[in-house]
Amino acid sequence: MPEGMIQKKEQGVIERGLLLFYFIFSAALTVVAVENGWSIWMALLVDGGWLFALILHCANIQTYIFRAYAMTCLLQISAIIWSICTGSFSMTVPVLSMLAITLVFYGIPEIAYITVGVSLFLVVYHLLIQHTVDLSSKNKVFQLVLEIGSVFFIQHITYILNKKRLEGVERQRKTIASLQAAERSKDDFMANVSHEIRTPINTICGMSEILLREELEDQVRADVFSIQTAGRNLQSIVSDVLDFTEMQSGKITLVEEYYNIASTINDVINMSMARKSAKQIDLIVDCDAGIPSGLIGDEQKIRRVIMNLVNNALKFTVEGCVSIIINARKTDYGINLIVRVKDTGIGMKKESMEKLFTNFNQVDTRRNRQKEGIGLGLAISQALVETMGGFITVSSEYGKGSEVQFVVPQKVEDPAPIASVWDREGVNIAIYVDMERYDRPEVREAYTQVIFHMITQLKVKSHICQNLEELKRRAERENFTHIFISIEEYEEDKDYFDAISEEAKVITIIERFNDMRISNPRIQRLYKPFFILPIVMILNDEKMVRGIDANYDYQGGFIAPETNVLVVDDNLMNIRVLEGLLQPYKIKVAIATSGAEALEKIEGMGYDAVFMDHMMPEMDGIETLQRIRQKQGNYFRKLPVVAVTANAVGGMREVFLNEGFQDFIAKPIEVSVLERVLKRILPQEKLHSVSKHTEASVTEEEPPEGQDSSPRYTDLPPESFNEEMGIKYCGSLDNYIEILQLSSIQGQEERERIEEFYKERDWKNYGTLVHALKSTMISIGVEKLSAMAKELELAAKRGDEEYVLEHHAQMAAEYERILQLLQESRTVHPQFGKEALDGPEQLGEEALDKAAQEFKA
Amino acid sequence: MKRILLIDDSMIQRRTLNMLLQNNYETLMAPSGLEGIKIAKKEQPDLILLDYDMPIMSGKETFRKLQNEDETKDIPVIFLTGVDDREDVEAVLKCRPQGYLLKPVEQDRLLKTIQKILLD
Repeated sequence: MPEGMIQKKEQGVIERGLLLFYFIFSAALTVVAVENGWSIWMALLVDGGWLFALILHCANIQTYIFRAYAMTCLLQISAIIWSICTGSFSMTVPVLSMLAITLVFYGIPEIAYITVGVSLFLVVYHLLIQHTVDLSSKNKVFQLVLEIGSVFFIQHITYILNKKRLEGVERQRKTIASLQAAERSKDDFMANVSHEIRTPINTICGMSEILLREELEDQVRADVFSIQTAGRNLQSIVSDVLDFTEMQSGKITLVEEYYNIASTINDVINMSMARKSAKQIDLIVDCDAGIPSGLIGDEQKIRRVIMNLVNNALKFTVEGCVSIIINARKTDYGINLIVRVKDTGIGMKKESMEKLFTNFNQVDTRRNRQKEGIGLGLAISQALVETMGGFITVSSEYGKGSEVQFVVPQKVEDPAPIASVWDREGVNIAIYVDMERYDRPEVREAYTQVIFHMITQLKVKSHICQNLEELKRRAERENFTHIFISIEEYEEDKDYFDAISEEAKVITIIERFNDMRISNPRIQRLYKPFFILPIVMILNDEKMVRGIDANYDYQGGFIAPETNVLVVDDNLMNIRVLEGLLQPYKIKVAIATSGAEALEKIEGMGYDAVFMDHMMPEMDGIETLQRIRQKQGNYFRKLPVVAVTANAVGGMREVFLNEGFQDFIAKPIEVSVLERVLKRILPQEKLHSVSKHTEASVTEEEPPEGQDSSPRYTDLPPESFNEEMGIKYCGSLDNYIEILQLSSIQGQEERERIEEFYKERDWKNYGTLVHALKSTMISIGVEKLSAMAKELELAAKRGDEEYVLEHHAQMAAEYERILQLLQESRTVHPQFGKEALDGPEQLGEEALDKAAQEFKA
Repeated sequence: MKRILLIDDSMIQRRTLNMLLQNNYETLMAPSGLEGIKIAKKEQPDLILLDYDMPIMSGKETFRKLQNEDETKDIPVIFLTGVDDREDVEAVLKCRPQGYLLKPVEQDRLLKTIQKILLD
């Protein structure tokens, strides 16, 4: 289409409009011709012209422009005919004006040339050829001028207007094009940025995870936990933004994998509790016991959606409760998974609900500036749910709360329910939880519902008691096997419950931070939010440690101490994160910082698996993998290689699998994903399962402190000489031994000099020598002496005579000891060592002098 | 091969450094600041590794002298210091050497730092 063209849609309308106008014009002309008795063939010509135009239009002959010009010509001819028939210029003027204006609609300014041409012709015709114009009086002349002027004026104006209009259209087109280009480049930018951003986030989340496993003081732990929460928040915001961008380009890919919804619920609960933090909101989880434990679907996305909804609920709820209700309804293809998230938050007005799902929207955005997040949650959730073949509905009441529900179809792999009580007959439950303490009726209602639901589903004998007397009464008559109470009830009558815990299992529902209020170990703690799974585990008497919670025991299930894994990444930070995450499985980890280095190491054929970063300079992950596969030997063809990448755009998994990777993990690395991959690719016989709740049965013997486990290169005692350190600082074993020899030879002399300065109280020189001693000792791995020397050096520097006087002797003695060890060492003095045993003193000195002469520069 | 001048009063330190460098560079040694300046002027090494904590003529003084002499002011200097006191590190940095490393030095670090400075 040429520049500045009218859009196709409009063209049809314009053409038809003009045809209609032409029709009216030719009809009028025909009528007038018949009325006035003009030669009918003139009128017929005009009618014929119209028919011709009609055919052109209907048969879509040629282009719009061609037809426009054709129509113009036909109309102009009709005008001429009209002019000839009427024989008057004055009669022609209005016709010409009408035509000029009507033809504007075509949007082709150039048509004006034709209309102007024809008008000129007609002026000449009437004025000079036919002399039909009456120039008798001034008025008449004036009238003529007016007529001619108005015709040309109108045509000129319409020409200009048309031109302007087309320019406008062109400008619009250009703006749209540049906006589209901008959006495309934004998408590219996002894809690149995605990698850049995900890497440091991976570090934050991974590192804080690793830190949390250490023994930490409470305050430090709380702080690290804050970092982790912030990191995860950041991760989810970034994910949202990046996913949103992807979604806009229509790139969501569905994954079909086997998963257990129980672990999804676990994860959701953990994340929700973290999100909730200090808010005085109860998180309530109500889940069907009969949901099949093995489902097939896109677990990540489902989890995402649930978290989005829960986060939204938490965001807009100040007090009350947020309930997560999960049901499953059987269908012929499997089940319909129905998830509802209810809250007692501020709710939404009807008008706002409509706007909900449009992008970037948050109700009351101005007032709620303090709420975090970018408001993409619902839009993304809807897109995800719909891609999975489901739908989302929202209902809300302003000031009361909201409920969001989504339904997705899932296939079933393992129909066994996620929770069932084994010995239903043998269980007798008492429940005494005083609901009145919750002011809000919604919360009471929610809790009551959950409890009822659970009891009904589990089909076990149960009694709900309203007060303590009732409980005590019943307890005497019945034989309760389990008594559920909460902390307030327990504290009502501690003695009673402590006593009865001898006969029945007493389970106290409690918040995590209230833990210490129960000191009796026989009382089982059940952390909020409770839901059907841990309760069933209690009823089934599954072994538990300390407190049952819906919390994941970060990792577990197995260890693999006999496996060797190679981690390849050009970024040391990423390596450390992955190393840390692999550590609980006791997997031995080797590292390589480049594709080339990895290839070298793999030559040794010692690895069970390789984790390879995809984006590396020089040789990237894919190329490295190809080189591995090209090597001769079955080992290289079959070596499991997992791609690790921050490039988590949709469809990447397939790309990697096609390239020959066994699997793919996205950064930031999620522990559950990692565990799944490990279980898949590591040799099964090397995986030893570890029950989550009992002591590990197979543990590798931890090497005792010190260097006993690593091979010794020298005969020097490891408690005094850190070989690894020495070799590191000296560059190699040979260098190390040489420096040991030098130190040994020089050492005596140095020690004497230090002693001299000490006696003279020459702290300046004393400090200098002790400083040198510090450096020397550390470079041969003699840490203790070096540390002593360092302290003395600092003391000497700050003039702390007292300290030096107190500690010098200690250092001197240690120095003496070290020198002695060096002297006796065969590694250090091979030719002397033997003789040292036979006749140390004399030979030692001679040889020392000789060597000293050699070495003294 | 590029040449590096080691100025350190400790023989063991000189020896160790020499071992770490000998595969990649030609090394010259000086046991004191004074000697070091003399050798630097004469031999014009490509880089100087200068021990900061030396008696008699300290590393700082040596450095200043090197900077003052036309023949030596353009030779890049890397300070080696065993101090981990913040104040002392600041003092080292105030001199504005081309680089500085904490003792004991790891081979990798040492080589990388030298390489980087020599490339500039």
